[in-house]
Amino acid sequence: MAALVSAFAASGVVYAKPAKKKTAAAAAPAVEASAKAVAPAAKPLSTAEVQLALAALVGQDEDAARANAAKLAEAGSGNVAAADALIEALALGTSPQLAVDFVKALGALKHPKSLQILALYASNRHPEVRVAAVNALAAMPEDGAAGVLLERLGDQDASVRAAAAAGLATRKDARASDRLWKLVQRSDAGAAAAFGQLGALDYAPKVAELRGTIDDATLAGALGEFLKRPDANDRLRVDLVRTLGRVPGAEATTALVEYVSTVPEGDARPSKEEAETLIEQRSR
Amino acid sequence: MKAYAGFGVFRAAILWGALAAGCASSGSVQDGFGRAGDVGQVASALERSQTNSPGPLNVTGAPLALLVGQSASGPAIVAVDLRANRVLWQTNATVDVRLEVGHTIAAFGDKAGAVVALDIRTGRTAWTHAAPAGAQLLGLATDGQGVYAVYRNVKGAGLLVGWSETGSTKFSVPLDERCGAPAARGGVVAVSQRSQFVSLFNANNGGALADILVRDEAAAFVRGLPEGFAFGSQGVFVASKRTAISSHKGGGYLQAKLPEFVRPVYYYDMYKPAQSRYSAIDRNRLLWRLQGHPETPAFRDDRVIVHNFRFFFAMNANTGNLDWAYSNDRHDAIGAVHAGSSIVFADDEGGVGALDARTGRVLLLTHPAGLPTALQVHGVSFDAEGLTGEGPGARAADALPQVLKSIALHPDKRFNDVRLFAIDQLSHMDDPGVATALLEVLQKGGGEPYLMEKAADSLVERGDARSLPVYIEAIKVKPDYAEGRAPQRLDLMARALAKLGARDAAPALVEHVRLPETDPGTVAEIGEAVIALKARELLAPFRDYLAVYRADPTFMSQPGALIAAANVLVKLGDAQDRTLLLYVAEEPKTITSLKVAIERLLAESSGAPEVAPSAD
Repeated sequence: MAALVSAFAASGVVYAKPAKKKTAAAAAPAVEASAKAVAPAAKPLSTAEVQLALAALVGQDEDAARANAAKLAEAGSGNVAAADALIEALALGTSPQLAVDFVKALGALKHPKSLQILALYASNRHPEVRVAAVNALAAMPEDGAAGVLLERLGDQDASVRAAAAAGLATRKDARASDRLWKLVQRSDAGAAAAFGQLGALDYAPKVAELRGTIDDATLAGALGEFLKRPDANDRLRVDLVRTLGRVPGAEATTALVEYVSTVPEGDARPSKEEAETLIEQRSR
Repeated sequence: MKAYAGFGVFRAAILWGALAAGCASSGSVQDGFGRAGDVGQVASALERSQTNSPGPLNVTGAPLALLVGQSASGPAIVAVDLRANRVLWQTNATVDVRLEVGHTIAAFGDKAGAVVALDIRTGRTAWTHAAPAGAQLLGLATDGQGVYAVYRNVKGAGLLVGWSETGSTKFSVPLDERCGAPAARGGVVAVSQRSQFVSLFNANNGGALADILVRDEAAAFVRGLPEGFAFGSQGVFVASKRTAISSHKGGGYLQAKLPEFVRPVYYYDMYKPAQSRYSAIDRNRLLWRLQGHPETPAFRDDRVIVHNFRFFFAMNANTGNLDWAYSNDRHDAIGAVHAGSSIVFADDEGGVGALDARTGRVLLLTHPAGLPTALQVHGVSFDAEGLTGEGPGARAADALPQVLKSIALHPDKRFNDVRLFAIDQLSHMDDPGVATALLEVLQKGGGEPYLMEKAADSLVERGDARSLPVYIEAIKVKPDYAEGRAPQRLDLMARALAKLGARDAAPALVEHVRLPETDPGTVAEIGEAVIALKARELLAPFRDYLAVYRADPTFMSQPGALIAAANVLVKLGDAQDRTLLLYVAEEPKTITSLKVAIERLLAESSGAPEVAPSAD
């Protein structure tokens, strides 16, 4: 990734900062008052409004910064001026709490320009910031976003891994399946559903074989998703239902119930019947 | 020797017992140590001691290990033929005082203090002599001609008793109340008395032959080796005319240069009855033999072997250098002996092994056939003199860096001092594999922080350019939970790379600045390395770091990493970096300590950072 601050310096944003700072500081009270007064609006923002919002983002009033971030997020997908303001605010640095809000706002804009700064914040020291960045990236169609998500599957924090896994599942990015499989083998519950959705069906029996070696929630989470896959044949489903039947705990029951609910009305599959029988037995 | 106060009743009882058994006492009660140190007497006495044959003492001629422990059928002695790799015999018996192997028998003391002799060929009891009433058995010795025991009665008086290997009593001799367990060698029995005399007796009749006078240190032990008698405590005196009066400066004295972790136990303290039993001393002592003329002796091959539970270290006795090391990975060696050419040991499950004393090559490492089920060995005695050649499990000696690494990684807290030694030794080795080994210790080794610090310092201090590929490979590896990779000690690698001037490795190192797993301390070290390497092209991550975290309150109490990032820009950056620094220093949300530090750094740089020709 390029040096973001350096990039801004080259574009004159940071380089001009000392002079600009006085302007921003002088304008701050008015900007903050204005920002607080602004109600959520769907209309496109003018350049002046974006500049005022930026001043609020980098100003000292955190509430104003949050409100303006939200306002910029509502500017609509692809709004480059709004994206620029948020990118600049993030590049100049802020508190972790505000960074979460800025990143969420930037994610809502889904602008390709935000890829680099989101990637930077996906490696932030604070897990909650990384989760926000990963969620934002998940919604971006660029392949570079997927690369960051794949990398974050190896994050040391479970919540970040779970966010990355969910994002990759939403993107239906099957490149994640190898890493998700490794996480499932390590009882990473956050990876289970994504793996069930993205993993090759050949993996389903292998997951079943992990029974007893990984925790039941992870096992049930993965098997439950495999079970719902339209490309699974019913013989496999029956096997998975039976495996889930041997897994104790609410997660396995939930997986069975969810499966039954996905089966179209009137579809008399053996796996469904077996699942219903098991649900009945487990509810006694 | 003088008549000993308080000895009369005990002596009378013993002598009565001996007479009742049809044997005469020698009657040669010494009346004092007045002629102690008489060179002529000592030389004459030592000449009487015949040199043992170079092989095992026992009549089978086979090198033997006698395992003492608990089997499914109760307390057991198991004789193992080390050459044939099989159990020779086993018998149920409770051993108290350590087994000693003679020519036709093996003798031990039981719980009641009786001396029990087993037929060495069959394990059957050959004879038993009960202890004198109320007497405590201090220890036993054999020389292939007889069995010798020292007792101490309730009042403390000592008695040396000798039996033939057939069990007939040869003599009994009163000893000083301060006496130790005996040693024997080819017809002469040696007993340390009052810690400063080594008394030599005729093994046939108990006749007093001479007393060696020991100065400078206590004669806590005396050993009968094929090379001669040796005695001492903090070191080893070799008995000769020269040591008839023994002193450190008088010659004939050996003391090995040893590392700090070693307890310099040259042999058992024979005044302490507990050390005549199998104990932890058997697992943590020095193994050594002698070479050269007794008057100008040396440790065999100039080496002592440090036996430390499951580890053996061959140390050059003169330099303290480590020649080889061996780790018996799964089990402690519960006992070991220097058998001349080899170090022979046994573990707590009855496994036996032998190492070439010169090279550390594994000559034998096996579980002998026929061991009783569920055998738990708590002691072992050997008669394996001259064991050479290879048996089951033989293999080349493990490479020293590998052995030291495995020791350094050992999880058992008992071995922290040994681990420290291993790390220290690694750090001094001129071997390209050492950096890899030290890195592995750092990555995998847990336990006491000082151990890791030692490894880290060793790694950095080495400054071995051959290690560079190792570092480069290591720093390319990023932490990844899915792949099971934890964060590395990059702080150390950064220091090492800076010391090596490894500019090529810097890009991979700097990539870690952006990773969430890289802790601030490591970022600071990487920054220092970048400055040292003058890697001006690698400043971008530091700019990002400074900007992104400048207002992060979690850095408020420990702003070191941010200050380090600022320092990188001050030292290596250009005019735009200076602008960034000024902005950060003035921006109200920047944490105060960082502002102050940047102002100081800029002031120290005289307002003129080493400006690079162009921005990155």
